Amino acid sequence: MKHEHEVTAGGYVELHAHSSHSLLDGVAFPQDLVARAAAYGMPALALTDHDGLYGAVPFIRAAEQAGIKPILGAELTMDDGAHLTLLAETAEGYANLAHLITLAHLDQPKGTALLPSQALAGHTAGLIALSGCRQGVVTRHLLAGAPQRALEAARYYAALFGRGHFFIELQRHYHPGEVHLIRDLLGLAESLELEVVATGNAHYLDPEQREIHDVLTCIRLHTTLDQAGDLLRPNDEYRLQKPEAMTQRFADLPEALRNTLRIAERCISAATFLTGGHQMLPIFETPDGSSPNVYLRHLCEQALRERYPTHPPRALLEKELQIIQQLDLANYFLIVGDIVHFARTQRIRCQGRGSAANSLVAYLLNISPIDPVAIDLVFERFLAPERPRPPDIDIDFAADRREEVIQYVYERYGRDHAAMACTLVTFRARSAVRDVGRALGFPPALVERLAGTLDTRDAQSIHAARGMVEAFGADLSAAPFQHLLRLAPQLEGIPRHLGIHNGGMVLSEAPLSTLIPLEPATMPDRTVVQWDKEALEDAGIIKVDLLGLRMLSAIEDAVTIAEKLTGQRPDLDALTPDDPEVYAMLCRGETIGVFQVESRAQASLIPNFRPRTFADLAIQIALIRPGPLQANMVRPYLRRRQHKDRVRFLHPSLEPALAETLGVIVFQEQVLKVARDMAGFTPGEGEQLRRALGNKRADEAVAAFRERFIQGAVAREVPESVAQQVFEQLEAFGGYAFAKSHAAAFAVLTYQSAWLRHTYPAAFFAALLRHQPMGFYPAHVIIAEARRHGVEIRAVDIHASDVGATVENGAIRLGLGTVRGLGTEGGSAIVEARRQRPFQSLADLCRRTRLGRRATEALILSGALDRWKVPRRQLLWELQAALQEIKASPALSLMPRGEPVFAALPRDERLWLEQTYTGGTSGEHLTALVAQQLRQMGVTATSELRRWPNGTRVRVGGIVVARQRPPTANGLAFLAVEDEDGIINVTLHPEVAEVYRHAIMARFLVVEGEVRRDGAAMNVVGNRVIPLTPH
Amino acid sequence: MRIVYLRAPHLPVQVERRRLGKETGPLIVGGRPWDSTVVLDCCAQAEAAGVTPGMPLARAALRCPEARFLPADHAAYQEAHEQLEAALRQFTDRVETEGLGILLVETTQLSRRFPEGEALAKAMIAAIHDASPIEVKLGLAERRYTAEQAALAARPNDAVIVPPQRDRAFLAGLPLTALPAETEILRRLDLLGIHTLSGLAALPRLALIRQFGTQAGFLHDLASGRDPRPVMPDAPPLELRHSHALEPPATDSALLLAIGRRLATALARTLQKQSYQAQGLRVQLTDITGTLATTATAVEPPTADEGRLARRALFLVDRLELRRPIVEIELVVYPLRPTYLGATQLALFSASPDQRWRGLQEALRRLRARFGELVVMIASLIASPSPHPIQVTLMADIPRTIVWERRLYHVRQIYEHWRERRFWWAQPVERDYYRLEDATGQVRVIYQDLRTSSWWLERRRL
Repeated sequence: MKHEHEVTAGGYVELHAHSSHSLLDGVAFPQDLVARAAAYGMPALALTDHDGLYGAVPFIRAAEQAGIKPILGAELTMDDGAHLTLLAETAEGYANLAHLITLAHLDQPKGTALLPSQALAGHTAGLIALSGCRQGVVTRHLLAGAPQRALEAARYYAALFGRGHFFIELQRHYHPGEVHLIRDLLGLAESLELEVVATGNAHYLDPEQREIHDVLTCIRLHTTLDQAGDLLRPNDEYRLQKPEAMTQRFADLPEALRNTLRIAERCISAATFLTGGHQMLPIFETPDGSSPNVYLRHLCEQALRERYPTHPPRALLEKELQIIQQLDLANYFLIVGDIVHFARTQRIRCQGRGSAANSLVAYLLNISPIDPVAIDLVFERFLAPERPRPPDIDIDFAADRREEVIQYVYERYGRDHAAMACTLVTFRARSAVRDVGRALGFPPALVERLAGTLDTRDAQSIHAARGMVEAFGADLSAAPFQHLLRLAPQLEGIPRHLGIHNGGMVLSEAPLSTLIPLEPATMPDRTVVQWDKEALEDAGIIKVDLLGLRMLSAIEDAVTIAEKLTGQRPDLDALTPDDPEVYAMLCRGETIGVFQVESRAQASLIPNFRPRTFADLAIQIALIRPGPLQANMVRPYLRRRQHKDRVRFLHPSLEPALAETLGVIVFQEQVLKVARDMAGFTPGEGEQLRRALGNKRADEAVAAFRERFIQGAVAREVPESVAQQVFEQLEAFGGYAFAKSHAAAFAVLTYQSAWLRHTYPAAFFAALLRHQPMGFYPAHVIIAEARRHGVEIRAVDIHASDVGATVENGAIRLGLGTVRGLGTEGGSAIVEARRQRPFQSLADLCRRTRLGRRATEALILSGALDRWKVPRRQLLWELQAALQEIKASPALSLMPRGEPVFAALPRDERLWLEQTYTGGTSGEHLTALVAQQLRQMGVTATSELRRWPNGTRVRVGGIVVARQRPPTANGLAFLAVEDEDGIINVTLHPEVAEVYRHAIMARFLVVEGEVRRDGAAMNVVGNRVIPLTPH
Repeated sequence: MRIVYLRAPHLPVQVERRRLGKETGPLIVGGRPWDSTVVLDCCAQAEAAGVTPGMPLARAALRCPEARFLPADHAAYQEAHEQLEAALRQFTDRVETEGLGILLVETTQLSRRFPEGEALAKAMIAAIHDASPIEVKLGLAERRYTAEQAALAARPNDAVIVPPQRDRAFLAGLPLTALPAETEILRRLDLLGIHTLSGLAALPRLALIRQFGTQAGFLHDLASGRDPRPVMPDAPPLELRHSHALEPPATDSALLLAIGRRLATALARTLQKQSYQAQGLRVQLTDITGTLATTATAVEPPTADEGRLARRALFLVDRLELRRPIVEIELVVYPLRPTYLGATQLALFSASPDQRWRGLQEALRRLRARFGELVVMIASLIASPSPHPIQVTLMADIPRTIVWERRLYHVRQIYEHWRERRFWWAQPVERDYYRLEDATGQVRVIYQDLRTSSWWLERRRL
């Protein structure tokens, strides 16, 4: 039987092609290479990127789609700098290739690969080697006039790879001297009885792309086009050539052409290397030696009895276990469950997020905090036999301890079996302008300015940029500027370098390096695979996302502090999210510090939304996202919730999907449900639709779906106009939105943090302060909020403070770690020294902590030494003597005489210094600095505002704690202004925001405007902004 | 003592503005934005945008992109400075140059002629106005630092005069940044709440020195109006001399020669230490009657070399007749010039071919030793011959005949064909080359310029 990709066509197959994934040495995306090869009628194509398989997955997928055989290879850089082209002939060859690439990157700086030549031995099986380009060792020796060494090198490789597995590579790019080179290579091949093969060494598709390739070369070599000289190729022949062109070029060497076909035929399709994915996971060793399926069932049964003493959802469990077994995912669940188990035993707070929360099994294994039965989640959203993609479990861990979990995974499964996913950092508009500008030789100062301002798609921006360029010299403003405008957009999207994924880990039973090449990451003790998240997903390889979340760290600290205060550890997992007082607190708008609902937008929504249940919280969280916001669904939802509008559905078929959200689309799943119920989409199609709607560059795909949607709806007797209206709503919703399960998982943290805030306010605020920066507001806002709720704030004190904030006698003591320039290390040094005995003097402090001048100055100025009742500036003056005392022996130090005397600081200065050096003030609110000005200007306190009716003209003022001008708000600017009593939201219309664009950047200001009431929510619409300067 | 401090603010910018003749927007002098040098001077507008002298030009361009950048013309600025100096020297020779466009005048000698400070300032401004169109500011005070601050406070072409005994009061309100202090000292003083010169002056001087080191004492003096620095009139042309007294007086020429060698060696060492070279050498012998015998020679090329100076000195001593015992021998080197003016280069090109070769080798050796082997690249002054236009006939896109200088050459064989597509970003080169053999057996390289469709015979040897 004929293989699907059997190479039968005549002519030529390109066996040496670089894509954009050759990282700054290739222009064409793998998909475009494939499309061009298919258009040229090539039956196969080999991808041979430099030292990597970064583009393997998109290449293989595109080739499968185009119906040509994908051949995987790489051009390896040997330790002497020579290139060697390798092609994977068999699966074993692929494993060897991946391993060799891994070895090439081992112990090399990031972005560098050098393969020791001795490493090839033992890893050549299943590989076909080509002698390489002009950088190949054989060619290099010939070009250097050392034919004997060339002969020896060729003989060495021929022996290493075996007869029929090492070819002399012939390339014709119209270089001077090429005739002699080919003659010598042929002679060498003949003398060693080696076969020759023609290749094109393609780096781009069209002659014009040679310019982009030259620019990429300059970026890679940190030079300019003028300086690059012979580092740039002499002509534009390094493109993917038509088979006819190659046939003509090698008409005198038909054997070299025939061998391209023979090799292509010998190599198996690279698609066979992308195995199913999940079966590659390490086998979880069950304690009783039972199979993963049996053990998973055992664990679930056990948990089911505990979690559902009555009415256990056995049928659901059975269904899930069956699907898990069918998809062979029991092992995966056990591995993830084990990671979570480790974290919990180490008291590392964690919980799953995302679609995994749809799973009862995930809930029973403690991976997810969400009871999917209680809030009616659908397991198929997470896992379904027909879903093409592997499941994805994201777990949040306390940010300060996530590294322990990552290292546990490395230790448990071995460093050869675990690695992080990579990210391919691509050129963006700004970086493209910067790099192209540099390559064109623009002065660095000009490049920086252009990168910051030039939008190559905007005529006005181009005009402004041209003026800027002219100011730098007329010689740049003509051709070079045109080159910049033409080339920079072409660079966008091309991979520039490799990064590390936020938390995605890949595990494997076999050494990972035989499946995907590995590279060391910049972070110590981390390795990355050469495939990014999309490639891993596409290849069906499961990863576990181990993410860091500061709120989990704060919650853990709050619980620990509460336990210290009360002797009893609050069990947050046992909380039922139904305390009316917690909801009442949220409805009052007291949300600062509460996860996900503290932002300005959420705080404006919550008084009208008035959440009463856990489900309400999930909806509230999901509402303030780009999807619902851009689709203008927030206000209709609110009005229906407040019974101001009737709940209505555009069509009865929408009711099942949208009933829980009162007829508006809030959650991701609802897109799928609407498409299913109204237009008969399958879950898979629905998912594709959702993805297309979220992709701004998928207009064509969306248009196709629109047609399909309307046809499907009409077929179900939905009027076409209604179908169109619904699809428009879906399109508007296209932006980012939360899945219900994800919103529910976050709502758990929202409730827990709200409960802690309500029950243990001091512990909660102290815990928040320990993990700054976090959330929407800076530390001083949290301090002010704590103070407003009766929690005393005590200043940083070297005699009492810990590194982080603590609670003492019900009051929060600010931590030493907040002191600017001291850091955790300095704070720990103080705490450690103090543990031995209290500090007696400044000299004693300096001597025992060995803190530097700046750190000690910061301590003094922050007020941390105020307990000695010595004026701060006096201490600053004495610091010099104290520091000198450390250096010189006391006997040699001079007793100071006639020293100046400094007075205590005035209140305002003390306040300002405390804010400057600790990020917050322990005594008064910072607005005390401008209190007199606020009084004189007749400013209304925020606590008084609620008495004023809609439309009242007022002046509000204080410190600006948030400034926003979101792109979705049509030019509106939003400020959050805080005084001692609270925070008021201020809205500025675009024209006002423009007039006062400098004024709104002031730290303190007064806004003149009108009170606007929207139900229980209130803000001030400003028409004048007056900046204030503290005296 | 009364001191005039004259300041021509932004002298290079003023010179350039005069040269440009009209208002040209912000101006930065020192080079182009992409030059790897620093700002020499900038106008007030550029200063307001955050540009400061000494800042890298690239950074200056970031801060003030609309500015016009000009390379520095040091000779013109020096000339403008000298005009100012000449105008002041009409009043007194006690003039000190502190920097480009900054001059100090010690006016004590002028107190009879100008008993009032105002009159003196007016006269000086008038004299400057006559000599130069450069805008200046004058400060007059008892102390140098006070005069400087007064000049800074003055309006253009005007003066601020600090009355006698009022230096400290004048300085009191000035911010600490007016002091020539290290930034670290300023930072710490700011933390201590000391923001003005009066605040600093109020601190005990010794305590300040203990706190900040010896520099703080000087700063305290300045802040207190006690600047100890006098005006140091610019020195006359330099000369150096060394002498030796003979006791008992000697007539022994060998002894005199030995002493002459020692003095010359000592002078050479002093010259080397101070980075000067002697352009002339004089020997003076004083006999027991007090009669002075003098002889001198030019030193060409100028040198600080011990051997050369000693040989010259011995030659001169030997030339003088010794009629009576000598009591003192003195060697004077004059005039002097800084070493950097390139005596080595002069030596290289005025020497004999043999010496020149050795000198060149030595210079290259030093360059390589200091900067590495690759720093020296031997340039070829011979330009490659330019290509020659030809006519070519093609058959199946392959050259078959060439017409060059009215002669027809048949192509016998084409050895090689290559393509060059370079410099697309500047002046694109698009050529198809052929290496071929004509019927006469000559191997030639021809190319077609695809941009003009013209054919050329490459004259270079490949």
